[in-house]
Amino acid sequence: MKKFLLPVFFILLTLSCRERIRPVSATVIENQIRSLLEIPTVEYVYREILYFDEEARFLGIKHMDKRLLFSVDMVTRAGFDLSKGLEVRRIFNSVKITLPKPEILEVDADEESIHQFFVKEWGGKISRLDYYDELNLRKEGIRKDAVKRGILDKARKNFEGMVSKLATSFDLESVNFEYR
Amino acid sequence: MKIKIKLTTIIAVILILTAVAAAAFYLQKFDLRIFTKEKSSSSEIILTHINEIYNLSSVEYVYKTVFPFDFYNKDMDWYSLLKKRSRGEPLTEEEQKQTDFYDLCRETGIPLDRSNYRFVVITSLIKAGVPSVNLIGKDDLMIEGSSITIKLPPTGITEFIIEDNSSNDYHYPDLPMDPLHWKKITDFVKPEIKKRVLKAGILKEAEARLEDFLSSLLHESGFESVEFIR
Repeated sequence: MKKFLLPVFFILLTLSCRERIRPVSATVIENQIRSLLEIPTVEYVYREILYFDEEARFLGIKHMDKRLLFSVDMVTRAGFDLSKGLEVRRIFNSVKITLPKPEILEVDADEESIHQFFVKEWGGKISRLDYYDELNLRKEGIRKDAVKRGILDKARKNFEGMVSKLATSFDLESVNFEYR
Repeated sequence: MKIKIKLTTIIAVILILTAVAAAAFYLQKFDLRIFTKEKSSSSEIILTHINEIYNLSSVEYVYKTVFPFDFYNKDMDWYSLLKKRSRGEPLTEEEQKQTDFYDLCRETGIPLDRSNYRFVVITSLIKAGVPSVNLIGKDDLMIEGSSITIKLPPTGITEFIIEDNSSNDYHYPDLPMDPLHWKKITDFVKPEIKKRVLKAGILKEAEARLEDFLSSLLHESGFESVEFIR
């Protein structure tokens, strides 16, 4: 009889331990609202095609093979963060605007654009951070490419064009921009 | 005292030692390590298009949710609901929404009908302000001496970003999920989160902060009275 009681006891112990595990409560994760003054004036959309694989062997024998090929749009937005300071001075019939230099405001993967070509999961599953780590590693390259292709100049020109158009509504003769 | 060792024991020991030595030799010669793990990746980027945008965002809501727990009623009786569906009985709109959610979770490897310990914390950055600031024209401004009245366009959500996590900043267990299933989850949560932040008054907040900013800017540039109309 004792022989049977011992495994039953362990099973009950395991089940009682599992009952104590609770999923993460949403209340511990707080949300926040913050002020912002951003004018993005241009976005470059890059299509990234990413291939990822991972293999594991034991004594030369393959026991895990994961492969993934997918594409996703990486959106790069550039513009102005006006919370860093904006000054407008009216001098007779013209205006002088002093503002921060244009910058890349974000590089973000657009999940809506994900297109998966294939996935192979043998002996292990692809996890979310596997491919997000790879995407994050490539953001710096995208940022550099966008700058090389003149995204900051384009952001500046678009902003100046928009403000000059608005200035005509005020019957102003000229608008001068100064970047710091 | 004499110790007797059987001949078969000696042969067995010699064989084992020979096998170990041979294994060590081959493992070294052919680089056959006991455990090996190799990761590789490659990618290519192509600039597909350039868009001009003229948003003025005045507020950002950092909204965190836990999928799936934040998106269904904890007291949901899945068994009865699924039985109703399997019998072919008509479902209400809410029940249909719940069964769609159940199917999404099952498809993405997060089953809801038994103890589930899989989850993902989603951080969304929702920005609000004026979606097309370049559309403000002469007709929207009335200037009389040092007074100005501006007709501001309605505020709206200007950007919705699901934060791209990495191993360095995501401190919860990783979720086994391929990109296609992750896309399905984000497609589902985006409109739900949008509804919640709109209900929380993100647009009112954006409007108030935008008026504060414009008002101080216009006062600074010489206008004594600034008024906004919608």
